[in-house]
Amino acid sequence: MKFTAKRSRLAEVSTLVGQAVAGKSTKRVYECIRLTASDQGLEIAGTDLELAARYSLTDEIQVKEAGEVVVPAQIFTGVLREIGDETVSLSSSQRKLTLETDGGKFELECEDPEQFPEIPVFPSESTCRMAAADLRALVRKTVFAAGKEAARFVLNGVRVSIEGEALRFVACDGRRLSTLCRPIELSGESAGGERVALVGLKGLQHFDRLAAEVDGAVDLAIADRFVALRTKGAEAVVRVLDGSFPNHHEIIPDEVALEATIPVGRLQSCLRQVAPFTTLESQAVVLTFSSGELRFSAGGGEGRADIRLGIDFEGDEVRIGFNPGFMLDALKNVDGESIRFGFNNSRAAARITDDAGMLYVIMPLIVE
Amino acid sequence: MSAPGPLFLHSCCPRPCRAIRAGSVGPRRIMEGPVIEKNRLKDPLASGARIRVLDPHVANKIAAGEVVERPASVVKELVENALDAHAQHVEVYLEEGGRRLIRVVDDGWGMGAQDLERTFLAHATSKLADVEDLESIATLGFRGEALASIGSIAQARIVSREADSDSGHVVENRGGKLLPVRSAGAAPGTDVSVRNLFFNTPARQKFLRTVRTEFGHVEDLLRRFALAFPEVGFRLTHNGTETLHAPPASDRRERLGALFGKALGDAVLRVDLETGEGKVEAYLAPPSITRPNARDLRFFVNGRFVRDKILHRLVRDVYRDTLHGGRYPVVFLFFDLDPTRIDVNVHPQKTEIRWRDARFLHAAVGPALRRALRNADLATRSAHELDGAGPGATPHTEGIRSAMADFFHRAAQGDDRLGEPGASRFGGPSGSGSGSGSGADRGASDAETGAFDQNPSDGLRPLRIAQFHNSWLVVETESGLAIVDQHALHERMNYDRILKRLTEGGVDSQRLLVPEEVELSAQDQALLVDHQDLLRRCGIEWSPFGPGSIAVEALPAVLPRAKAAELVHDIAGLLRARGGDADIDPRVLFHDVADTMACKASVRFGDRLNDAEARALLEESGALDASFVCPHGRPTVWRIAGTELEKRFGRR
Repeated sequence: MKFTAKRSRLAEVSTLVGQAVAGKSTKRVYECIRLTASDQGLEIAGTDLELAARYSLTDEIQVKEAGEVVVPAQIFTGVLREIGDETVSLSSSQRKLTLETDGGKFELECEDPEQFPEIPVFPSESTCRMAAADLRALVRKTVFAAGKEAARFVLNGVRVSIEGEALRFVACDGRRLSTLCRPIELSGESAGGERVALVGLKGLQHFDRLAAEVDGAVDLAIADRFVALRTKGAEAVVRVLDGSFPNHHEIIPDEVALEATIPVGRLQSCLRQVAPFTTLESQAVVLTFSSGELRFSAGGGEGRADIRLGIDFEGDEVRIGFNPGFMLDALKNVDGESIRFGFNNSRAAARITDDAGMLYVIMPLIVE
Repeated sequence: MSAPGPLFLHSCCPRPCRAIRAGSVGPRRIMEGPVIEKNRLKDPLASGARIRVLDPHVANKIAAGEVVERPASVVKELVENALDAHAQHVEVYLEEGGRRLIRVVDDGWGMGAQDLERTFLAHATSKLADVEDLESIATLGFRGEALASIGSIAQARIVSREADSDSGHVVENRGGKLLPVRSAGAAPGTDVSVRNLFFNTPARQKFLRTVRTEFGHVEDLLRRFALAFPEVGFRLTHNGTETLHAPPASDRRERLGALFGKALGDAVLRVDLETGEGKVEAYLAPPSITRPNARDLRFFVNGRFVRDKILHRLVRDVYRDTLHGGRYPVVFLFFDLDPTRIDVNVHPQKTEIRWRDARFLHAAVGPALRRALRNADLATRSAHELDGAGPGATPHTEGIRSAMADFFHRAAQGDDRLGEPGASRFGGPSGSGSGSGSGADRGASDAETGAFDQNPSDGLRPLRIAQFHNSWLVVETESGLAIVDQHALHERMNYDRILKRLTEGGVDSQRLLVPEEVELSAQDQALLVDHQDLLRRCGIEWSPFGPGSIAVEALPAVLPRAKAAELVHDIAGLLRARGGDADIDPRVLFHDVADTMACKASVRFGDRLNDAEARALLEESGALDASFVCPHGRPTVWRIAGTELEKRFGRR
């Protein structure tokens, strides 16, 4: 194998693929990426057995001799990022990869390509096509609400489903939930019939990175065992999680008795002002709604904060407590100038909706 | 297998059972043997009636089985008599652990010839006149059984002289054979000698333990008396060697020092309480002084040593957030109560009492002791510890250290008889620290570092902080160096805060969008129903969810990563451990729950802390009143003064 490539592009792509690879594994080959040079260009592939990624580089590369090599991802990408030269030439012989630049030479011990796990390919029939920006919005506006180390394993994933001509993401960590729908173009046989999958965060974040690379559309396939994404030049396949996600329709309040429109910036500012006054044993920021006014209060033994914000609200005084972190998480990911905040009482779920159709459900804190 | 026939056979055993054979020599034979044999040999009706009144000698021997179990029981009866006679000095001489000789000499009122004549008769007492007196017993003895019992199983001799009389008298009882009273020369007071205990009941003799053990029981007994009566001098001599000497003391602290070492005497915190039921005088040792067993939880009610489960639990609850599981504090409680409020006539040995109304203990005594303990500073100081081990060690501290080393060596081998002579001879607290190899060092330090500091700590003013092995913070302070156990300190802080919130109304509760199903037995569910208020305060909301499971609808906000099942099972476990008693003082449960929650909410041993986090932890900890012992009683901070370092390096 022998080729020359633009150093920066090669570094970018191998870093991207390298992110799919296990950081530490008992088998060294699982810490590697595979470079395959052919007449079509260079393909870089990697997997941690849950997520597989492949990227094809066709321009900015000159293949002189076809071949295949499996190199440790961290060293390879680390070297590429650090060297200053514009172009690099790589060649391999036996189990050794030589990387040459004007300034010097690196030799990397490689692994046996036979041992490298199989990288699944994107199914020939895609399920749907959608704007890359829409996919990114789905990821950004939901993933933050998924469980990080939730007691219930299924809550660590995001429920991805096709509902008619739309793709819905739902994430919930047991205390709050975020969901968003985006239009899709169904293709092939997949029309009709709901498809649902539970996808881990690492896979979705990888999808997001791939989608960030392109402007146009991306293809998505939802199969029984995996979900796959194809962009121009790249593919990623992620294995779905087993388990049944809670029924989000039951969780989301259909109607709210009280609703207020609140400017996002002001709301964030107020929460940030009072949040430092919460303590381990008194974690709530209490929102008190009254006609034309919203009060924020927090604190316990170590001081108290109490501030007011004029808002558009009519009704009797109502108090409801929240973990301010849960509210700020949502506000970081909403679009538009203001959100609508709706709730029923101090014990039931409240909801935040934004201009982009995001629906965020948050359970209150009961304050004694 | 001949004469007695099948009656002597154990149902599952073809040969005469050991227990029955052994028992047949002792009291059992007196009661059953002859009667049974007679019945089998003769027609029962031929001799008239089967039931006979035992002759007094036999009856006394039977009673002796209840009253006199071992030499210590004899000493107890005799010392009680001495104290009831207002003795100022009581001297006890033993030979061979009391088997050969028990002699108790006092300088009390003494007895005249008439009294001496009656003294060995059953139910002869000077302490009760009629049944009304039983309602308000103020003397130690009262049943009038002791001397009669002792006389029937040993060779007893009493020499006594009344203070205002010119001469004394002597009376002897040789295993039930009473000799006439003679006059004899004597000092004022009474001198009782009991020789050859159980000489006529060989079975009893067989049940006696080693000389060491029997002597240990006597010594422990005398300590109890010495604690209860600080104004009385006590001396114990065994085989000619004086092993305990407590001269009359002006107060209990002095007496504690004489019995357990001056260090403990100085370290204990005295708390005086005045309740509607009477007075309580409490001596609490700092939590750094602990014991592996409950031996030094000593309770006295109206001068009488008692074992009482209620008091035992009360004291453990007082210390519950400052002690390791499995370790016991050192506490002496002296109650001075109206005699009608307790019943002491529960057991012949009189070590049990019944409370007419024990509520005041939980309502007044427990909380007051807890407060007092909390208000005292519990910081662990290193200065003395270094003293003890370092170049400055004096022969005295070295002596204690080697005694401790010896003790812990034995303790590690399972020989855990704290009251045994060798263990306490040095006067220091005899069992502290753990039973591990490092126990020797800890034991020595406990004696000196455990003292309560009356000045509340000014906290730590950290200058520079380094984290060591992701577990300890090494802190440069203005006066030296401090080493902090990060988990223990954080746990302590969280415990205090959570406990405060639990007490004041409850912790914030995070409602769940998706209720979590938890499998829980019907019994445990019933426990949760009984303690609904506790669960609400803990921030747990739940509802039944089919047979054997519940749906958890809210969890405490302090535990964002709590697993519902684990938390609910932990709490059900705590309730079960408390016997599922619905009436239990909720404050006790708050401690339990705060303990569980604080542990889960705290940084762990091994968690990396950045500088800001470490600093925040240290600065916040300074504000808390008892932040220097974690809820399990482990120290959180070890302070090393700069001067100590200089000493260590020979610069001072």
